[in-house]
Amino acid sequence: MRNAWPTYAVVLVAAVLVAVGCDSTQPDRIQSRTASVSLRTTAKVDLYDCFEVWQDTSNPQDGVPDVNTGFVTCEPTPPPIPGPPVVKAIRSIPWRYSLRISVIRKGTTTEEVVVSESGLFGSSVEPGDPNPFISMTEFDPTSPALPDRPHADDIYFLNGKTVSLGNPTYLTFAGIDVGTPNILSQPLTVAPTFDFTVNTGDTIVIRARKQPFVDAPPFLHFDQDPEVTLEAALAIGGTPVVMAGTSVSSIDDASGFSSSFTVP
Amino acid sequence: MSVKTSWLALLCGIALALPVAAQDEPVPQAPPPEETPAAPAPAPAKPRASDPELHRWGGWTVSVAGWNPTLVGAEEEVALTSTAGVGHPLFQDSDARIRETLRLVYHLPKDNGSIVGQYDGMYNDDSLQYFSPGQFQVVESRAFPQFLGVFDNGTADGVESQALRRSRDFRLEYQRKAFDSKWARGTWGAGYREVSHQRTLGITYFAIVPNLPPTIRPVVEGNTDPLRLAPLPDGVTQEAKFTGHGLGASFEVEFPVHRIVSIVSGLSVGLVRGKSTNAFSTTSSYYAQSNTPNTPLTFDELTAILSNGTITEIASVDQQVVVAALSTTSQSQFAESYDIYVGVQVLAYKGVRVFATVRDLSYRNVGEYVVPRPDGSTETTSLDAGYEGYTVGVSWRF
Repeated sequence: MRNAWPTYAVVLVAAVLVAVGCDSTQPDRIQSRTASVSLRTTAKVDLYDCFEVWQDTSNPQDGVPDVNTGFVTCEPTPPPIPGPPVVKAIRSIPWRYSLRISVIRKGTTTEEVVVSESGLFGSSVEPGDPNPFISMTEFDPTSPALPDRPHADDIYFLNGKTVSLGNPTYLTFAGIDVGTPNILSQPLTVAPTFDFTVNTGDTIVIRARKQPFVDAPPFLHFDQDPEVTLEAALAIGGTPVVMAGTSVSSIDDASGFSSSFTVP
Repeated sequence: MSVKTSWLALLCGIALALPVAAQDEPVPQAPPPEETPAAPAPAPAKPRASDPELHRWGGWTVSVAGWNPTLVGAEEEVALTSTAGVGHPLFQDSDARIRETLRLVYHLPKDNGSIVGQYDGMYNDDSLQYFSPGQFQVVESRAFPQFLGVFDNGTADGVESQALRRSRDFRLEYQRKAFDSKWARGTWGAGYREVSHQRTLGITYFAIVPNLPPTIRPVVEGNTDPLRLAPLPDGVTQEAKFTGHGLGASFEVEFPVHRIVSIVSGLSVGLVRGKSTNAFSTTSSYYAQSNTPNTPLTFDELTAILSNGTITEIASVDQQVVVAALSTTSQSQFAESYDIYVGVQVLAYKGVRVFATVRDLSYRNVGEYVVPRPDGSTETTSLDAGYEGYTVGVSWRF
């Protein structure tokens, strides 16, 4: 039988070298999802009962108001007895704020400002930015209906509702134009959230500050602290998440917050 | 692939090959007895396989081997981490890499021994990253304790390290046959050793997402970088170098189990005297206002200014860097080296051998770390390094 030892030796050495080179490590899975950021401002504000003013123009009057004068009248909501002299409630108000949304990619330590899925830049506070307070939170949509008020002669008060200072009905009555609610110039009526793509392991950082009282439209009653607070909400893939840091400002003027979340 | 699995592969190969080799030559049948005037003389026994004859001027053997040693005893703790309330160290270990061993032997004429030169070089350059943004679970255990961490409590939410560990071993020995029998051959050696070891460690501790009150409009000017007051990372650099030379001795044994297969084993010990140099430095930082740069702000003071301060107050806040450093050169020190191996050797062709061994190479007291303590004293840690793995190589004698 021919000597096969040299062959076996070569095969053994080759097998050992191949075993050294084997690597069965699997690469990490990267999952992309949509992050949605929204902000809301609340304050302790007065409540008002507002009515549309109609007129019975019939001659003689037939008790049916037929013309909407186009005016709205608002009066402070009568306080309950006993109770505080002025009715207040915590409600949303339109308020401007500065904002910066950034992301730290997995495995890095540097922040980069996000760009939304519609191409919007995620910051209004970069050096030289002309309008840091371009963003504004939404109005208060709450307006429970009221029964009609008794008419006065030919003037009728219809379609009554209780609204806060942050409701567009009151702001129209007061003649105050605060602007259009938006987030980084994207109207909230178009999309209520600022959406961008994130991957597993990325860390989202949200920084925001309220516009100072001195620069805001004068629709809040500053004789009493309205306790204005700005807060952010974050959802990943449609699921709300709890952020690290603080996502709610204090009630101090021009205060803000910084919060973060690492995508699991 | 772990060393344990590789050992198993090696032993399986041997277990498969040896029985086959045992059937290499059929047993000759004894001829039936016959009435012949004279039985033929038996054929001479085949000579055992051997190396080429020495030339008049001697001979050479060149040997090259490769191995993927696992670094042991030289792990560096870069930080402490906490998971579910349980703390544990974070080590910078090392990935195994293919390294070479070179051996050149000059065989003196008339079988008067050999002059052996051998060189081993190990080089491990590894990096580590551990990031947990916003979760300050990393304790800066290697940094000098002053102003560590954005919260001044010595914690970070990320750590990055780079570690270089390098060993060089050169031997020049005279070797001679100690004994040679049917069952074993022994060789002793003695000679010169030179050992060097270098270790460099760099660690950076980060505060990636401290969530400090935002320094954005309206509390800063329009041309201010929103990240101006992002915390500077803390850093640690530690270095140790040792070089020494001395004497060593070795003993190798070969057990022939077949005409061309042997079990080989060896032990080499070295004692060297040398000097080591070492250096250590830490950088950290604290927040202070420009009118009082030497008065660190506490974390509460900092957040109060950033939350409710005026534009002027916030603009006056900055970070001051602090450095703590120490470098020393030690007196002479003794280091030890141990080299043990066992394996299989096969004579593949006349003068050409293929071998596979399991090897353990160890260096003791090859340098030291010297670290300053807050009370002004220093803490010294002796450094060891070990390498274990399997070696595959070929030698050629001519």
